[in-house]
Amino acid sequence: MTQENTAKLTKDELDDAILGAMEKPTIWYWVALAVSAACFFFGIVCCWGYQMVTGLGVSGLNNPVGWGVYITDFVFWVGIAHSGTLISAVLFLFRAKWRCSFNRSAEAMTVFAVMTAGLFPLIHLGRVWLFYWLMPYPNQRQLWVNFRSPLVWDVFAVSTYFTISAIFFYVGMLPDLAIVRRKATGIRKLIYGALSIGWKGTQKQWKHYNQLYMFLAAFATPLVISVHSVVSWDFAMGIVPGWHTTIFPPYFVAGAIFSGCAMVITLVVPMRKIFRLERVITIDHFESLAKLMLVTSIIVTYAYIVEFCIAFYSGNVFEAYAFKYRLVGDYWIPYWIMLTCNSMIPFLVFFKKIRRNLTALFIISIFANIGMWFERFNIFVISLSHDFSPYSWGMYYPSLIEIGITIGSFGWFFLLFLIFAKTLPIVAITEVKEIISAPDHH
Amino acid sequence: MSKEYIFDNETDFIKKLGELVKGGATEDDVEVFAPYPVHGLDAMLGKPSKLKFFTLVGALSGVTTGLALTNYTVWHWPIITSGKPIHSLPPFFVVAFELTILFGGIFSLLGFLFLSRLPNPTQIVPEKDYGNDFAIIMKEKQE
Amino acid sequence: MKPQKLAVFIGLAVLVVWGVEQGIGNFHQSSLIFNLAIFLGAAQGCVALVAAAELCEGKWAVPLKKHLLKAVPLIAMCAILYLLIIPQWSTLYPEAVTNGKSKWFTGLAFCVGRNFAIMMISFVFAALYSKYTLAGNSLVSRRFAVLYLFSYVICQTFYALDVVMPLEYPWFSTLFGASFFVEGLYLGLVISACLCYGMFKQHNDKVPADVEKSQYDVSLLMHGFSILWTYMFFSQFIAIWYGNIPEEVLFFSTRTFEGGVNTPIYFSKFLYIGFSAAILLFLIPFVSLMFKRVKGNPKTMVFLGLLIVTGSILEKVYIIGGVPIFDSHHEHFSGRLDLSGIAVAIEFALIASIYYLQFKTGFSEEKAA
Repeated sequence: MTQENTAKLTKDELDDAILGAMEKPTIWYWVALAVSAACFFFGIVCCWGYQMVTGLGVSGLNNPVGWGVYITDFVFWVGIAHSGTLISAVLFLFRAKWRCSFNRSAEAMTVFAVMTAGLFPLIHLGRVWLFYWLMPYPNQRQLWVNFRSPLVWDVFAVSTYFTISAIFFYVGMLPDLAIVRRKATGIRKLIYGALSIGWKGTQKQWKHYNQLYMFLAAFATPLVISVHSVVSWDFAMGIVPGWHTTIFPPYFVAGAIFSGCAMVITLVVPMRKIFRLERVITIDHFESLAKLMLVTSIIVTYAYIVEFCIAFYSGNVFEAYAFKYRLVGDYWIPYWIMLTCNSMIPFLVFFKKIRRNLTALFIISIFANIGMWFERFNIFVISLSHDFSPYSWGMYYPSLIEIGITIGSFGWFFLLFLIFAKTLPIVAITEVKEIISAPDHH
Repeated sequence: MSKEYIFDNETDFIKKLGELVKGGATEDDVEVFAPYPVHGLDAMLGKPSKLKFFTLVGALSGVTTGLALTNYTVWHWPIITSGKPIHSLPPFFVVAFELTILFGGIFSLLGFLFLSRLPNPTQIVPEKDYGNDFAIIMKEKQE
Repeated sequence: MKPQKLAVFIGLAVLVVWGVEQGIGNFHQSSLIFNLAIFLGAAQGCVALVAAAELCEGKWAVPLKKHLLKAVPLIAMCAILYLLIIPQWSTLYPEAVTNGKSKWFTGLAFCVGRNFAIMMISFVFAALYSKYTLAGNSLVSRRFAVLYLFSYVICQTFYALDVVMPLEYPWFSTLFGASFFVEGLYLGLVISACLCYGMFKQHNDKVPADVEKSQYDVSLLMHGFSILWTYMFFSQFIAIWYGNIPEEVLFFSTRTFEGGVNTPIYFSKFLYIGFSAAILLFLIPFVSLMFKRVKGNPKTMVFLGLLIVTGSILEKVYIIGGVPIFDSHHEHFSGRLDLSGIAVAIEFALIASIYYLQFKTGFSEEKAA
């Protein structure tokens, strides 16, 4: 069915269909752009600016909860970033054909989400202008960073992830940029010409290109797993009950892919409609993506169940209390939101009718995003607020500034994505071409 | 004069190229343009890419840098944190792993640019673009 | 193998294992748990690979399917063998008997019963899945594939958390179950590699293209799983090592050091066993599978598979054989769980040969046809 749908397109029609999305935007595009820019300005510029001037006290962070919404946002955005690399690299290695409908937007999403995520450790710094202290560099005081700290691993992991994702994004786009260059005129031709650095599409170039893409995919696959594992180790290395558990790395990776898939669906469903890409991105492709989302949702649910059962089965009173507190304690509302959105609503995808219905998928994906945000919130905040000693228990409520910065991060992410959608090819033209015109598919 | 063959589909193109290769053409005699990577073309023409050596060097230098940097810095500033030994390898492996990927990826990219002679300023706005067609250009034999 | 013949073999296995446990072990050892950890995982892993491949539309499993699904009755065999744990149960899990707060939950009947039931459920789903998928009814078989995969994951998790982990009370690790089912798939791939070799031999020079391709894909997957296994092990290790919580870190520290109050402290042999397991399960497969020549050669793949099985055995020796026994106050290390080498070897050889015969029937059936 997939092949029938796309086989009707010729190579030239495909070029036009995708480059058509880059033509003059409609009024709604400008509205969306303005809203995102306003959110960005309000959240990142105003709220963060206010926090920088006033100090971290404007957030709700205090003892015992020192990691609140900022770290939640950080992990949420790193998680969003993950399915981009998964869809591009892992599915490339597994030769899944449906990836080529999504991989460009997913990769763009990865790069932008990491850029968004990278803001939050900085936002969380009291003196953000000293951010370079995170990196190891020879300095006059002869101090080095503490390589035994998971937070330093995080610096390495996230910056490596950003670099490799950006390289992967750009390399995948190189032949497509050459197509844009061919179609463009005037100053745009020069710009896209410069971006495509003189790509000609000769056999020699393709030969090295294929190798490079394969290597990058092979590097990105363990990288994507390691990055979220390192993020999870930020918590699992601590001994706080609810944090210190060995299942965290695979569980975080699965959760990240789950939220990432959900975000891809959230972004691509409207994009497909607005840019009329129905013939390129088919329902079958969405179905595959929905199945991936379902699988990761099941893994996440597995982790919830195992954590719970072990907490009680092990006979460890602190673990058992931590999990009981999550379920029926002060923060039961976010906890049950998480359970509903991550472990119940996505299971609707088991029904074929629902996973082939884009409206339903879109709604489910939004629930999944909400659920994954709350998952991180629950892990960090609930565990910190009630740890070993009842003397140090305390509640945490996000302040308005924190909520504002969270909104700003969404604005920043959508701003980048909207700019991408109009300036760069949103579907991997070359790869779709390869599939629609390879002789054995006719 | 160099000869130019242009095709609009893969099957004819592969057929013609196969004939030329049978006739003794090598990677240096023909210049082939394709709108997408054609499966099996690498096997028909020329040697496998040398990119893997760049990748290998990158990955090895990454893991070396990672281990050297971590171990050097703790040796240079030996302060015990969280009760761990000064040279505690498990955390250092994490850093070494990330740097392996980072250096491996960057070296691969640089190797690719070097091997395929990019960026190429003369081709930023190419005079000839074959678009969606496949092209084979037989170069003039210089004797 | 005809069902009757297989039933005879299973009966034989039960008798022999019973005899071994009675005669050599005196109910004081865990060789049965040890062997089932490997063989149950391998049998279930084979079916799980086929089921997962069918759901992902992976073509690599198609030529192997018929052979891999021969593992289905072996799951039932493992489940029946598991019942032999009953007489030694109270000596294996003294903590469950003495410290259990709710008697029914940690009691013998419910504890053995739930694990046996889950194994049998997994067997039933595997049988149904295999029936429909071999009949080509993909609509129904896909449903059973999903159900089977669920039961596989649950069964392996229970085996890890409910059978193996309580040996080392009060140690606990949430990743333990996941590492068991990953290893089951890894062993399933080893069996696939051996089956590929059999198919290559069967076809002599004219190996069909799809078999060749699936052989290569099995190697690729094995490469992936060598990394995945390491990831699982390292994740588990680093969280425990870093957290340094007494009841957790004892898992590794008692396997690294021996000696104590009145004796000098020295490295335990389990440290070396653990390292050899890591080399066999990760380093050798990871490095050698980078080369195309290794990946495409079924003979070297069988050799590599044997190394991986050895690694897996050593890993199980590390986990199960290394279980420390403490004195009644949980303070002083007083020895290890008594894992009898002879008992393990006899049972291993027996079960392995039944596996061999069962997988071989697939080829002899084809020859007859």
